[in-house]
Amino acid sequence: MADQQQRPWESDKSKLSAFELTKLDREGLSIIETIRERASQGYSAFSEEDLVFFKWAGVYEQKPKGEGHFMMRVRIPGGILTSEQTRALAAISRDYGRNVVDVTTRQAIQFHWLTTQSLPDIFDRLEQVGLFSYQACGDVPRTIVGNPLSGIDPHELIDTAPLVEQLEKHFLLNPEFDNLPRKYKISISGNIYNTGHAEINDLAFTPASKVIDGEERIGFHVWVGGGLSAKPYLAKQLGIFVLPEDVVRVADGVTKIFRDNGYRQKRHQARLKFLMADWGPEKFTEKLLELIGSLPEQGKDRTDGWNAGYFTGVHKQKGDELNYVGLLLPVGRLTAEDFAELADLTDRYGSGSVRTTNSQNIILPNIPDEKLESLLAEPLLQRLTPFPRTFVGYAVSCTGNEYCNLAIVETKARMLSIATWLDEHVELDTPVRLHMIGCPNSCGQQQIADIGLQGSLVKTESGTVDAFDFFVGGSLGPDAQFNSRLKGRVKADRVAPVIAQLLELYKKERLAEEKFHQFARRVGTPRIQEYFSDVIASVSAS
Amino acid sequence: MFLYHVEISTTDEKNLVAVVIADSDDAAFKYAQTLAKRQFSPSQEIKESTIIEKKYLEKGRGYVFQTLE
Repeated sequence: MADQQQRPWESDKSKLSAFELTKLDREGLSIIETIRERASQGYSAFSEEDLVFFKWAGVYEQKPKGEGHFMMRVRIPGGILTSEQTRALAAISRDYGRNVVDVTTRQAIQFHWLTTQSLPDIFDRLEQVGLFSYQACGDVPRTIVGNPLSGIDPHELIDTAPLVEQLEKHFLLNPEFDNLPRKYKISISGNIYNTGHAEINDLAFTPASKVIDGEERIGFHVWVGGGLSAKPYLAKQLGIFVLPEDVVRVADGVTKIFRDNGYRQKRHQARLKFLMADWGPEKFTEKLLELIGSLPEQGKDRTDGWNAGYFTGVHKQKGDELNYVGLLLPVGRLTAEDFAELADLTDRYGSGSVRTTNSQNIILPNIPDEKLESLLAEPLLQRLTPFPRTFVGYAVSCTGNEYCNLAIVETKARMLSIATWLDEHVELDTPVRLHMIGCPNSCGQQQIADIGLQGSLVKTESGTVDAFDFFVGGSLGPDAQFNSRLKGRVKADRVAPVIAQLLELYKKERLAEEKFHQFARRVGTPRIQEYFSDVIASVSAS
Repeated sequence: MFLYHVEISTTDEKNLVAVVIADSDDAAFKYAQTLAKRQFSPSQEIKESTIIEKKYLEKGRGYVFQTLE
């Protein structure tokens, strides 16, 4: 490092956390070579510090820590996979990951149960099909979230797939960005229903238009400083309009501002959202334009709602000639065999493409009308159905304590069982988005749910049981707002009936076309709290 | 080893928060209850203890709670 120019944050080392001082002396991405060199020697060949840097290679130690099993996250830029890539991922899961494949809330794929010995072969297999786990975790730009319908979307103003590719090329393995203050998430979508969940990304591009030199141009508005975790912030919009050809320049500038000005003293205050909270969008815009030169002022925002990233069902694509089929993966998990079969199905019926969504589901695009009936009759589609029931179709969960060291309770199987119970016991014509998390860190994006459920572990005289706190009324899009916590904790086996009771209130008092989050905000938390307190009192007594 | 955030409620409707270092959930409950009982009069009993969160034990880790106005 001696011959390297001093980086802006090095000038005052008293403002650097202990881990930041370590990062000054160690290039994060060098862990990839270290893993390749030492993996065959097994888990004990790596120091505790090495294991922390595994994240830069997209690898985390899974529960129980210390026993040499790892989770790996694979970047799926924009959620677009070929059938060849899908087969390669399925084979990795089958050979090394006990057949488990998870689709994440940022369109990535996760494996579990990997050993250090398996990592070099997995890196190679991924690279052979143009995929990477590198920078899927760590203090770096993560995978680029995009519109999973890019190029085929009747509701997109611009095809963002080429822009996702440019952004991926610019940020992946770029040493300029291998040491950011903290994780950094980018999304871009041309869809008018906010498929990129703009408000919860560090940097997001949403569709916009502006008349320039007498011609209406389609471009983007830019959102900066969003993020969830224990202290959630909604991103703020900058005062600029960005043409497609300027997207990479803007992303580069925003990322450099974060790299050079982001806080590095305390890791829990290092995300870009804290810098944005202090600077505000006006100052941020000013600093960006100083750095990258002028840009047009904001144009017309073209976002028209929020679809929460759901695409289940059979739908016509842009141009009306082909169809896409959105499949439900219950709580985002499937087997290696099923994933490989999806690759076969897209080759047989579609165009050899599989797409992942940030609602943890799958899309098979480009299905001709004449092949639809046969595809829908396939046995796999009876399980991963395009026509899910109301609750299972909109249930999200984090990994939970099955694999996560910090989760207090199990979430995936429980969320599925609660959603299934609700489907069997509650008649409802409107989707209600349920998100379950196993700790306050929000990997299951609880804060944006209609009804969010946060797990805890309760010990009473009669024993220890899992329990959940309830949160109501979250959404993104034009009326973006995080949900509000209700007082009172509900034991795990009573969560489903309590949700059912809340939905009875919704059904009774909602206005026409009113979604659950809109209802919760209109009637107000005090009204729902009063009702909720009565419900949990009666449930506890029963 | 983890740093646990545990909420404790008593039979006379008092609510306490305990922060304890432990290597398992069971141990966290035990340590939190022992610490809490030191704050009670002998007539008070613990009704319920709840683990809300755990973090890896590292320098600088902790929890922040708002004080009563």
